[in-house]
Amino acid sequence: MTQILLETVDLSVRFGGHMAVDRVSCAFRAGELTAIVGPNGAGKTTYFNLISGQIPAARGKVRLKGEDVTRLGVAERCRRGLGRAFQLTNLFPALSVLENVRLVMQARQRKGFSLFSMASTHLDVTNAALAVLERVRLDGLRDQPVSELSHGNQRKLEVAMLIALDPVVFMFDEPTAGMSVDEAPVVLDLIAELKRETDRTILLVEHKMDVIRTLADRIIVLHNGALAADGEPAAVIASDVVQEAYMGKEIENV
Amino acid sequence: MLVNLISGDRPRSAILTVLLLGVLVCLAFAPFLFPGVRALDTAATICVFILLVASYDLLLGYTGIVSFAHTMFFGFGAYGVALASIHMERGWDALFVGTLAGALAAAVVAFVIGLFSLRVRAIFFAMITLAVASAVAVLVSQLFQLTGGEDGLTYQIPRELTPAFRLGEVFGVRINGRILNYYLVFFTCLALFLVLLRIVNSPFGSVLEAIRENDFRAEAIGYRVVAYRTAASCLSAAMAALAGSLYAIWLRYVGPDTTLSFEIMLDVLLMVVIGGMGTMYGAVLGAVIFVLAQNYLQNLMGAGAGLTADLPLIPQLLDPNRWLMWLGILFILSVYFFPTGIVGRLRSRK
Repeated sequence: MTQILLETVDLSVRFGGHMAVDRVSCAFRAGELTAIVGPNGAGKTTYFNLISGQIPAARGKVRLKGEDVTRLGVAERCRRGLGRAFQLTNLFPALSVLENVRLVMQARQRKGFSLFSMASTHLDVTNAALAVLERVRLDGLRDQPVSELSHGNQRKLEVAMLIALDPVVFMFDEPTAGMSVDEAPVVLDLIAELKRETDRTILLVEHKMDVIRTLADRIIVLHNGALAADGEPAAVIASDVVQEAYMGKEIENV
Repeated sequence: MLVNLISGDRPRSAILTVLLLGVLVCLAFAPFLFPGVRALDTAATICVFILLVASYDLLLGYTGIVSFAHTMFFGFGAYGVALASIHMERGWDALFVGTLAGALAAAVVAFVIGLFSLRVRAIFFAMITLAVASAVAVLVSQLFQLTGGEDGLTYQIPRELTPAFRLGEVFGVRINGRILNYYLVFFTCLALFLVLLRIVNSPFGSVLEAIRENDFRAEAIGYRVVAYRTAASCLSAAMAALAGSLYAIWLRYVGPDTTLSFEIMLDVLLMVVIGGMGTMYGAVLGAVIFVLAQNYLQNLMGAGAGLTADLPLIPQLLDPNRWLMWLGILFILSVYFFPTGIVGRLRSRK
């Protein structure tokens, strides 16, 4: 068996009277791409927030490579390898495309507290950032302020920043949300490429079933915050749970 | 070399370059270009305020933190020099110890304030700094045995920095200790300004800008936002204290009005906004314009009132006592026409 990189044990959080994530226990292995599906409000993004630390868990644990990271802050988890791309584009709007990726590289190289050197002289950081931009084919727009990019390019940059982070766990939260039919495949190709090259683990929240069928090694289904199904894509998609969840019917006996 | 000195932060506007060079030349040769005690006093005040405003911009413009305690830190430096000069023997070591103690105290207090409030929301930090600054202002006026209260303190600085020390003549200008003192202020401010310019163009500075733009994402790519905000706040406080020390060395007097008052805090805020937030060069222009207006607007208006004495209404409007109204109008107009400050405006025109 390949190594378990990320594991959640009984992970739970409650919003008011509603269990947003309800005792989700799941392990994610190296080299595996897991799609997380479920209807709106099922707790997919909240599950991500608990893993990357934006929301503290009420119960349960998050283990990264066997280490308990549940008590750590967002930045510390990121440094240890929990990388996250956001569903709603979440960039540095007034800064240039290159600067956005450069900041990620700089964080990775722990150079943030260098006070008296010029940022422009750290060529290794800039060149590494440029290499990532080339990879996602955004290098032509390197000096554009992010606020002037099209939505599709902003989504691409969102993915580029996660690639630049080079984490142990890649978390993509609906990377193609709001993208046009022509643009979405570019981002999906990037993720597919990432999957081929990396021995890390990739988590992907996605709605489009055709995407999931081609990309995912495994699907987990969240429903009302709880884990409703887990397994091979073909089997899970064929299962009653998914059929009913995506038809909008009530699920019983989960 | 020159580009290195300004940390690669080019003015990026021809007009701005000319203006900055003009300010630099005027300040560098102020004793020779503008004779008179008052002119030199204005020039030294401009130097000190450029540093003070630039250090505030590190917080407000670059990191996006609003603080109302900046003049308190300015005061720490000033009172540090004053107290050291009174309680130690007159000499350079007193200036040195006072300056260092002031800067250190400022950094420590900024650290404690940051620890308590920067974790939470930015607005909370603003409130805390307001409370602490008010408390310190009250303390200084109450502890008059130590601080001189509202009267402030006068003290002696090394003889080499006073008018009594004479060196001879250059270009028909008598060189005395006062001019040496001016150059001490000028070169220290210039050096510290270049240090600040370097800091905002360093990797650290780029993280501060990222935090200003989107602190949530900055944290999510691995920067501990609290640590960076606290560090920026300490640095900015220490720089403000150094500016205060220089001001105290220049004035040979400290008092609540010259260093601690809330009015100065507002002036500094206005200078940053007029000059342009998030640009160190904005601090230069903001401070020059504001200090000049404070010192000479009344004279200018007096002259204007004299010239228009025969016309109706205008002499009344130009009455020197109304200078604050004109300063206010000037401010409103500048914010209206240059929302990104003078530097932002100059850089945006192609």
